[in-house]
Amino acid sequence: MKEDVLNVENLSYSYVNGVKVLKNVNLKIYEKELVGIIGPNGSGKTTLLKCIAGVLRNYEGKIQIFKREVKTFNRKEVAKIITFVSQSFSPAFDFTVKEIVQMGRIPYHKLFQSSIIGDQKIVDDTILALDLKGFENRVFNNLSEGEKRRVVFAKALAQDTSILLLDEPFAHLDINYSYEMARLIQSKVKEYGKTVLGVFHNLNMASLFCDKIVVMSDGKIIAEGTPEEVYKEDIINRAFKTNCTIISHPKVSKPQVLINWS
Amino acid sequence: MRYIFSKGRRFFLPFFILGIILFLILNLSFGSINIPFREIVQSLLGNSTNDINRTIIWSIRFPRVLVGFLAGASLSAVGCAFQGLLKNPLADPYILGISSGGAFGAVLAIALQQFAGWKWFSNVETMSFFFALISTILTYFIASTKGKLPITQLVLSGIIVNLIFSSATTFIIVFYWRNVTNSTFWLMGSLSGVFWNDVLRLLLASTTGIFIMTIFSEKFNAMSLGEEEAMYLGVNVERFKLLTFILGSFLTSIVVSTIGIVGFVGLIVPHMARFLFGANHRISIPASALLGGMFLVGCDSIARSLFQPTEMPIGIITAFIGAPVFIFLLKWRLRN
Repeated sequence: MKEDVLNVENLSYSYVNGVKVLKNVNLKIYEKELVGIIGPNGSGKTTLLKCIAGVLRNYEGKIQIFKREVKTFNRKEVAKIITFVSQSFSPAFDFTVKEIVQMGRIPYHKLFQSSIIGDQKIVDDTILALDLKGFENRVFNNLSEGEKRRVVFAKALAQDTSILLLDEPFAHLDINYSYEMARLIQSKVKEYGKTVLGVFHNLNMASLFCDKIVVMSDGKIIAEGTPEEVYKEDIINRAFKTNCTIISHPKVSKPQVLINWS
Repeated sequence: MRYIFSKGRRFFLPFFILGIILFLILNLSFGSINIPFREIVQSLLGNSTNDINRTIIWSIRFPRVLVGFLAGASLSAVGCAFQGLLKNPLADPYILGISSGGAFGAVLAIALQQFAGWKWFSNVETMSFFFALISTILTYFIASTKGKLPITQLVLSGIIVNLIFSSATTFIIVFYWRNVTNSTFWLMGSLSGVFWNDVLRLLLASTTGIFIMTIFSEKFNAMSLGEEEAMYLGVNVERFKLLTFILGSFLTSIVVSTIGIVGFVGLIVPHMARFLFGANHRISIPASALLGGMFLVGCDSIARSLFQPTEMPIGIITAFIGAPVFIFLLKWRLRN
């Protein structure tokens, strides 16, 4: 029996204007699962991630990480358990690749410490794992979008947390690079034994990337299961208010969504 | 070429510090009377036979050079920290309205002393410090919403508070028009007339302030990625913003109340430091402090010696030198 890493019960959240963005959300995620959240714009996907990350704290209901309520963690404790990879990442100044990756180690440093034993190895390993050797002294802001994403993931892996939250992680990449990156990240998170919860706009990539899919619409979870279980025409059509056909990928037998053009 | 000193910093450090000391000693020689370098060294070692030179060096020039160095160091370090904290390369120590608050306090004190005859307002520095802090507190309260300090609101509040106090300052100057020169020196900054007690006060404040900012350099690095990113790296963003603003405002208020408003230093020196040493705040904050100190001392030497018999307000020199340097850095950045 796998242990649940994340347990969300009856979660509701409203922004200041009183509009309820999340309505009684229930979700359980187990160790080393790769879970994707899909849903139309404004369905509450990113809000759910931010509640779990402990950034939005005035929610109703329960969010437990390793059986402990997320509100009771302080910021530093959360940062040692959860890494959040957002879709845009733009430092104000010209930090080098190595400096950015090293920032992943900040949660582990006490006052007066700028590094601890083991930092160097973790940073070097992640740089190597994401094929960034030779890039260490390059300025992050001068890299291509694809290279920048690799650095951001290297920083995320250097943070060395058991949970990774991804908010549309491949949004700005072209089709070739985004799939290549997704493949690389998938293999690395499996290798490092991470539990991943990610928001995806690209439904076909989510199907290939994730073990489990959660479909959200209007602040509620309307379906949950493996891609094969969830990628049904009626579910996708209802969630996205579209008209689609589901086919099986001829090579990897994963469901893929085709929009009917009429 | 990039980050000339990013490698082998430890090797360069002793030479850098030695260079700073030599630079400061050299700057003791400029002024209305030029004193030879040998005479300065003898005087500093206590072997000077010339009483006048010894008095000039020990009572006038030395405190002046040290105040210049410490003030420049403080403004630059605060500028570097604020730029990192606000993720804004255009931030400077005066962004919270401190400068105009401090200027208003000083001009008000001068006006009350000379025209209203309220002698108990005789301490210009105290009034300036007091109003500099009031302006920061005002900015803070205008900007804060539900215990949070949104950066855009903070910058806008700073602009408003700046406007209020600078209008009030202009009002006083126009109202008591006879004393304009005195106020101008204050509004553009000047290092003339500083004493050893100013050195001690600044030494205590700036070394403590710069040390604390350097300790928190990792948090400034995280903040340079944006508030949310910093949060994901475990930084308590609101608390850290408050702490930095309190520290930065306090330090800037002390500088402004001692030497007036010296512009450009807190804006451009951090960029120079990053240009030479890279963006990591662990290096760029102390480097900004050292470079800023040297920059202000150099500008003051020009201000007091190049326009004899008169003395130029130092803010004019920092702007004359600072603006072209800033344009160069901007162009260089765009080209790269």
